[in-house]
Amino acid sequence: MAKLSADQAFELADKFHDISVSVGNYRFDQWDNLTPSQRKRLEDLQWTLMNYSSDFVAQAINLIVDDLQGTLKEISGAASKANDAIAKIKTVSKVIGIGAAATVLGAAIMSGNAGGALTAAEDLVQAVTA
Amino acid sequence: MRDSSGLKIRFLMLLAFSLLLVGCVDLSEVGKFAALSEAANASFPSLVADIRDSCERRSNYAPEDRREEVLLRCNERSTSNDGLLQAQQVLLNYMEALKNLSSDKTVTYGEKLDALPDTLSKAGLNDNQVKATTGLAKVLVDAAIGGYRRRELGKLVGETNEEVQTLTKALKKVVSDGYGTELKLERDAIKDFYETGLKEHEKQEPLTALLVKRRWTEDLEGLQKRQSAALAYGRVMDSIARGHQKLYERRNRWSTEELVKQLGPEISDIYKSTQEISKVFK
Repeated sequence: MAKLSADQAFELADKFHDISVSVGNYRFDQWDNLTPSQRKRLEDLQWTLMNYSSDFVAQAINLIVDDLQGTLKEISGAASKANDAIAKIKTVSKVIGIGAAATVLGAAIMSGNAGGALTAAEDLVQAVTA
Repeated sequence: MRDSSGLKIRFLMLLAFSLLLVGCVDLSEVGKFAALSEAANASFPSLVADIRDSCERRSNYAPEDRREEVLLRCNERSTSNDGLLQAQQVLLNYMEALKNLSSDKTVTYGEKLDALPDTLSKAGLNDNQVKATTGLAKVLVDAAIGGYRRRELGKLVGETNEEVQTLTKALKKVVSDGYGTELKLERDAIKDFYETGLKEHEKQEPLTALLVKRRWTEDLEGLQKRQSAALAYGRVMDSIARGHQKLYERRNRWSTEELVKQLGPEISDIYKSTQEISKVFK
């Protein structure tokens, strides 16, 4: 038998829930026409259906979590990269010495080119944080 | 000589201003978007954990001879719940990293630049020149770090957008469909429990029946709050997905104005919905 997909499992959970509701409603609507034993059997049936519904929910969640493993790895890796970048920014002052700042400053003054100076400064940061 | 010095200072100031315009994009909107706050970090795991807790609460409403069976099934949920909590934590960690990377509070380069005036004075610059040069050096470093930060953020958003879309969609589905169904089952169990009791005893004990109905209403109120929180959680996931998609689509041409305009609705939605969740799951 083919394995259920998460969507199918959720759908089954819904169906079993709906049937359990119908059984419960029937039990209360027909309360006075049912014997105590019949009421008990219907209540048991209702709880069995609720349990199945909940089991399908659990199955769907398991399937989703399993399918997510690759995605989670990628995002965790990205978060680590972000944290690495933050760490580099935090320590960048230790690497960018006064000489480097003055060199970039000199280049900016000499060239009179703000965009070029900025690129030079960015390249410098890139170089020391790479 | 004085004129030449004044001209240089003005030039330096102008250059500093130009660099600010060219190089700096205020990334604080990215930070606000990514900041899910302590409330979210505290309340989201509780909400996800409530999927299992709802099952346990349901067992309390089960007929006595079925209670153990329901409880056993709830206990089997621990593994999937752990996996789910971890999945959610990955998203929270990523958003936290995004927030931190976009924040200028990460930069502490005071010591080196504070030493710059001494060095420049020794090199023969006068006070005004030293002041202007130090200011410009700070602008340069800010611009360079800002550029680096923007590039890194752009890379991250570019590399992870597909995964963030997948994860937010999955978490929304788990909570909307999975938790939603568990809460419906809990509501049915509450109904079964109280209505059975009332059918059996209401005529003989009308006063007790009144108290039972009051208790039933209280139980339902708690349940409705959790149902609202589940809907709010879905809205947060939608907003994260939408906001991240906007960042992705414009990752190579962010401007401050555009970030404010584009992310404003998502920031507002995330804030409101998170508050709603944290009222229920503190």
